[in-house]
Amino acid sequence: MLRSFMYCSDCTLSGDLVEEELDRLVAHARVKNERLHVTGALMLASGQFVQFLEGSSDAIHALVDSIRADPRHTNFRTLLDLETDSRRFAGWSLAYSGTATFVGRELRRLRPATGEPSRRQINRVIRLLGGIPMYGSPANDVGTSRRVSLSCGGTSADLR
Amino acid sequence: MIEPVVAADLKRRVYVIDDDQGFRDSVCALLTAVGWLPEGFGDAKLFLDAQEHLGPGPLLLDVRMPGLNGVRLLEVNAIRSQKFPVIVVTGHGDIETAVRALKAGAADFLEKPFTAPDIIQALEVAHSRISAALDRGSTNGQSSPSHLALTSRETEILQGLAAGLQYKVLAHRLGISPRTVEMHRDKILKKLNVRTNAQAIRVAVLAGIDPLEKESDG
Repeated sequence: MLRSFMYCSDCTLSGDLVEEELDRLVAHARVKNERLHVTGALMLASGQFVQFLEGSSDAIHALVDSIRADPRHTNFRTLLDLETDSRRFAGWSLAYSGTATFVGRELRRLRPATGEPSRRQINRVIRLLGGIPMYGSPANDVGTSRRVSLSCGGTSADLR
Repeated sequence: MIEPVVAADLKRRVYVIDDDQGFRDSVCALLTAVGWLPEGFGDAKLFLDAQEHLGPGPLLLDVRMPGLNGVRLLEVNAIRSQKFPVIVVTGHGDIETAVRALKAGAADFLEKPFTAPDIIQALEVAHSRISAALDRGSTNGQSSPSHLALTSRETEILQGLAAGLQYKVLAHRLGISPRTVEMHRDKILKKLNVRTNAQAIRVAVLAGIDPLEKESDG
């Protein structure tokens, strides 16, 4: 069974460091994810990371543990952690890194002032990452033919 | 919220391409009020013909105009996007268009209707991009390595390419993987706004970047 995991976090790097450090991170992640058969995408905009990862449960859990501990980001927040039967991404890539305020706004909407982000917003960001939406069809973000719980599987879905 | 106080000579240029005159006029009025110097174009052809003679500034480009797709203009590199960072504007805010526009090199993406703070923030960010990448070096007509906005690693890679080194050899020499070399190369091409290694090398030569010295193969 495949597992999908998505989180957002704040980048702790600043200034000129960001680009070089991100290069290093992406080069490393590309090799590691390929080895683990993990697919997905990473994005950085307005100082915010978002990443979607999918692969075997073991691979995802190990990967997420090491990502959580990475000092290059903080304020880690789980957006999705669930079992799934198909992949949304063909490979792993850096989908975007830059200054577009559009992307920054979309990522900020993953952290509403109150409550949890909407599925519609999560879907928008998955599509922005270049993937196939998690719930329903792109034309109908909210409608779900197969309802999936945000916190199924009994693992740590720390959705505050 | 909005700070309109900008001295006249510090006014920043911004170009608005939209076939809807009402929209164009209202955006230009808003931008003038907050200290920008907007110039409107009713169609992209007019802008493309004039771009050589225009000062650098962000470009607000409507993606859906009669007979033209704004994203396509980016994809075929019709716009000098280092000089005119493109903010794609659309009334149909679909994510796929945003992804396509950003992939094609758009600096930003705005959905109509947008708020004044949204457009101002996007313009500020796009404008700082010009100053960072191009404005600094282009005024004296002579580019130099520091004006190319390359990191020291990217400069090394470019020097290696100029020396005609293979990725594998260059990677070994710099102690990084060939994959990383390729990644840096992609960034270099993007930063220099060129498509091929040969074009990048030409820029390097013009900028006075010396090729890496070849090592004797042991």
